[in-house]
Amino acid sequence: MPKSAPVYLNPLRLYLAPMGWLSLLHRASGLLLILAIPYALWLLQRSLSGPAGYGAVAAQLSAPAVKLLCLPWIWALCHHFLAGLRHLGLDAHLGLPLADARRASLGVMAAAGVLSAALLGFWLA
Amino acid sequence: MKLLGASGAGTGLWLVQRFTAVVLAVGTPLVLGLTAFHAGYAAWRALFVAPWAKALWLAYLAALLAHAWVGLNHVILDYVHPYGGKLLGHALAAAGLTGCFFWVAFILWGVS
Repeated sequence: MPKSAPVYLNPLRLYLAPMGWLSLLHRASGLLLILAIPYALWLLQRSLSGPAGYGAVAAQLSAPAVKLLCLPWIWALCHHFLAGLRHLGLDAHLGLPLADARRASLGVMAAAGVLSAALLGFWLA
Repeated sequence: MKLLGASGAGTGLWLVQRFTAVVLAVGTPLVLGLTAFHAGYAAWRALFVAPWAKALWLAYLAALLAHAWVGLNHVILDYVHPYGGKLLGHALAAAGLTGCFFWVAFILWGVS
C-alpha cells in the first residue's frame, strides 16, 4: 500500500477499456437523442399542418448551417444504433471473449464515425 | 421462487428495453428513408392518413418513448444520488415522455 492514497481522482487519467468508452458514449448519445424528441415532434407537427408549414420545415432542414448543427445528433443516432446492435449481439452471447469485445467496441466506434460522416455528406450534397 | 413483488421489476424493464430496441432498429431506418425520399407535401401527408398508418406511427413512437424511459431510468438511478433528486428526475421524465405520447397522438389524429 502506498503511504498516501490519492486524494483527487482524475477521471481523465483513469484507463477506460474500449468497452467502457462504448458504454459511456451509448448513454451520452441516448441522452442527446432524447433531448431532440421535442424538436422532432415540433417539426412533424408543422410539416403536417399544411403546404406552408411543410415548406417552412423543408426550408429549415435544407439550410447548411442547420445540417451542420445536427451533426452531434447524426453521430448520436449512428453510435446509439450500432452500439445497440452490439448489445443485442451480446445478449445472444456473440463477441463475449475479451479480445473480441475490444475489437467489436473499437469497430463500432469507428463505424459510427464513418457512418455519421457518410450521412452528413449525403445530406449536404 | 418469488412470484410477486419488486424482484421481477428489473427483468421487466430489461425486456422492454430489448424488445423496443428491436422495433427501433427496424423502424428507424424505415422512418429516415421515408423522410428523406418522399415526393413533396401530398406524399408526406398520405403516409399519415390511413388508420393503420396512424397505428403504426403511434406504435413506433410508443416504442421510442418506452425505450427512452428505461434509459433515463438507468441514468437517473446511477448518477442522481439524493433521494429527492431521483424522485424529481423520475417525475420529470415520466411527465415529459407521457406528454410526448399524447402530443404524438394529437398530431397523428389531426391528419385527416
